[in-house]
Amino acid sequence: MSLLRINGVEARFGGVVALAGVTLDIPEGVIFGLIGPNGAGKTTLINVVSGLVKPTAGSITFGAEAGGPWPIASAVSRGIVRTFQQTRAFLGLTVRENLRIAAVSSPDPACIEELVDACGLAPVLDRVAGDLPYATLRHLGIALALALKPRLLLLDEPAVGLAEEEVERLGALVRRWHAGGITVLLVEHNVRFLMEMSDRVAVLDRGAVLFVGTPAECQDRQEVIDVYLGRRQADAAD
Amino acid sequence: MMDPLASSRHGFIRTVAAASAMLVAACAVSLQLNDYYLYVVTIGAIFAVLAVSFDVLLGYTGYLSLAHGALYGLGAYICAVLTARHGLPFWAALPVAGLATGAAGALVALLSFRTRGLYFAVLTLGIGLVGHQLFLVFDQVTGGVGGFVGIPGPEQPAWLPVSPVAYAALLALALLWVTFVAASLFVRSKLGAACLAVREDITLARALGIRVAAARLSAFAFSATFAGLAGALFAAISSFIAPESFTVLGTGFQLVALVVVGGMGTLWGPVVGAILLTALPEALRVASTYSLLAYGVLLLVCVIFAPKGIASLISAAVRRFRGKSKPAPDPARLRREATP
Amino acid sequence: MLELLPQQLANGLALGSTYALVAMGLTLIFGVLLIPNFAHGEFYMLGAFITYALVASGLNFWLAMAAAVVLVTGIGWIVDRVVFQPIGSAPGHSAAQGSGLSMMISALAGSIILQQVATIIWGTEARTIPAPMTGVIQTPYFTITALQLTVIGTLTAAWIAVWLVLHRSRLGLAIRATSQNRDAALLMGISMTQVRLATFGIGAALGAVAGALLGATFPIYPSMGVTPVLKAFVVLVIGGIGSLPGAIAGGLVLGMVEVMVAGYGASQFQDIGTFVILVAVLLIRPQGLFGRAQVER
Ligand SMILES: Nc1ncnc2c1ncn2[C@@H]1O[C@H](COP(=O)(O)OP(=O)(O)OP(=O)(O)O)[C@@H](O)[C@H]1O
Ligand SMILES: [Mg+2]
Repeated sequence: MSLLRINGVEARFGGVVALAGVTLDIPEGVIFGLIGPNGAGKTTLINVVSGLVKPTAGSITFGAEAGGPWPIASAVSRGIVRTFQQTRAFLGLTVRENLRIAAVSSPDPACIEELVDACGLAPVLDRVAGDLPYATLRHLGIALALALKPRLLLLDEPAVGLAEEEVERLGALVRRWHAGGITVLLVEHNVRFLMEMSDRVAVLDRGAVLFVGTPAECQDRQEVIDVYLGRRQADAAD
Repeated sequence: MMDPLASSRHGFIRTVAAASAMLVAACAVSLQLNDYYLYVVTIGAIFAVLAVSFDVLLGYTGYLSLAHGALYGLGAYICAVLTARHGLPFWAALPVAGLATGAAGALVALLSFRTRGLYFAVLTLGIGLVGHQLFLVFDQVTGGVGGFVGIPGPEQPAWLPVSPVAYAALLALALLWVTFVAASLFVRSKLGAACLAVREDITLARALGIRVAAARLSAFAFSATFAGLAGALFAAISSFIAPESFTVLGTGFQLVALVVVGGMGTLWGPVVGAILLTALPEALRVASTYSLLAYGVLLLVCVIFAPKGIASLISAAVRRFRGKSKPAPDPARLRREATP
Repeated sequence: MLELLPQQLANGLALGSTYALVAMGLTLIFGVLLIPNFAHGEFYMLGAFITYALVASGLNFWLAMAAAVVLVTGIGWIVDRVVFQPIGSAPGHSAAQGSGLSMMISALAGSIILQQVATIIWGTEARTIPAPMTGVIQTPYFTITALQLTVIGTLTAAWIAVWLVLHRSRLGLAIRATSQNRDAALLMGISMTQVRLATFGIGAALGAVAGALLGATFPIYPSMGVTPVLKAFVVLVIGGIGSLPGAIAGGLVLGMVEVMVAGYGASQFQDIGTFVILVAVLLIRPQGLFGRAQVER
């Protein structure tokens, strides 16, 4: 049973084709990994699904409901919630105030207490978000999204810039909420983290889906290695 | 044990208690004053009403409106017309003026929020100028440049045997109390949290399902409603109003100065601003050609060196006095742009 | 009715030329430095008053105007240094936030300060600069005063001069590069100090010229800059922020529309008409007629 079906979505910005007809099926209850080189269109895909960018063509179906993508407010009320690649939180406000804002449209504000513990925010509730250490800030960004009790969580490179043990903590957090019934679309450049986390993986290149399969299959495919994994290894060798 | 959303009811009750104590004290002190100082108290309180409600829009929601001088005037003229021309009692005209101005404010907001940042300020500046022009142009209704004469004062109940001047001061202080409590309720409500989100990061606010349009519309309508109430009270107790009291550069700008100098984003900061910039110069009789210049200089100094105004300096001093070593939030961050 | 049209077009062209002069300066400062310079109207006002003061002390009008332009250019630099630079350079403020709240508030403060200083020096009563020329040119269809013709000529000359500076000098290249992408310009070693000095200098000078010329036709008073600067913002909205041809075309269109409204309608609605246009334009296109739509990333 697929939760999110993306049908031939195309997004152009002037002459730039960010998405050139993407079709993807994201089954309910999975962690779905999405990789691709810089500029492949991953963030744009999240923008389209979450209603921040209108696609020039194509549609999405969410659950049993066709007719998407919806404007961002209706997407959120359907349970589609996203995080941002550059962590976004309300930097001038305290963590408590941040959570108060997330509680405004949360269907179940009581869940926030649990989130605070899980994300390690309890000691910093009265600190201004902009003063938080980077890793804590990233966790706050995810906590704000989780507070809305999404059915589908779109994570845009949550692990970027985190140290190894912080990545593990993040993975545990995502797994825990996934086990609670959330489907996750995970965009990530950290390939090892992504392969460990994901049930299924898609590879995006220049706005087109190159491959969909299990992490194991993905790692064996030559074209994937060529466009992506190979480049990563070359980068690492620099 | 630490409820992350720590119900702000306790804080609210404390705020109301403090505001009530201040109200009682201010009333008690006022009754000892002579007529001139009573007038100072009245004007100071009316400007404090304007400033506190304006802060809900400027400080909490992050939008600079220059239309509020005209909205204040609208409330004043509505009250004047209803009481002087149609014989309505003041207590009936006051809520009508407030609601009608709130509705007009909502209309202005619907227009203005289609734009943002600079365009928003320019558009509201234009609307403020048009409003002032309309007061001049429709002189059959408003009396034009000569002003509106003979507005009846608020009816005084028999059980309150004070002079009319003292009664005016008490009314102004009472309206300030109402405004302060209403504003506290507003900023603690879900709408208030939504407004903060709009101010801080409108895209993230949307992504978190905040209804941005509703939030900022209600902030604008809230501030307009209380501007209308303040205008109505001003009209009734001055018995004479003229368009020159409702200009963009006079009142509209003064409001910005009161709120920024006093402290955006706190409700008591604007009260301090109103006392310091309106009442104090009057009381010391230094109000003159130099007062607008002083406003300008103070505003510039504040926006550069203390963007959260006098309120932030006072709270920093209090914190230091109490010996708490909680670091003050980085002022630069507080100055960040309101709209992306 | 229709036989009045050429005359009104001529009057509108002259009035629109002063709007265009003010708008050119405003659009330059906003387009290059992202500064919403509410104080721009005060450059215009000071241009008028300084010219007035020098003429009153016996100087020839044109010399007085030249001196006023030099003085107002200096004032423009001071305003930038005192009002805008402290905010632009404060930590946590990036260039992209030029349209931010504090920038607008400080611009407002600067505007009020200059107005009040002028009030203290010259008082609030309206004054006039004695007209430097009185000639009238008659054509079969309309008459135009020599002064109106001068205003139109000045706009043309100013446009050519600014175009030459922007497109034929190294500094102009730096200015254009900055308006395209400030960070890239900085990386390329462009001196922001020079760009700011040039932009504010040119902008203030254009405002002063407009003020001096208009002061020879209309009464001058300390708050005379408010309406023109607002109209210049309207022009920016119509013509597109940062576009000089847009500022000129927008200014001329606005001038003609106003003269028509005053001619065929009621003159007290002239200013209101302008703002109705503003509201209408922003309703149809919230980012301005030619503004680029911004997309969130
Ligand atoms: N709002 C926009 N306006 C113009 N071009 C855009 C916009 N958003 C994305 N693009 C372009 O679309 C392409 C895809 O960008 P996108 O951000 O989706 O890539 P990405 O896969 O997320 O890359 P990265 O790994 O660097 O985050 C890029 O060429 C980008 O420049
Ligand atoms: Mg991306």
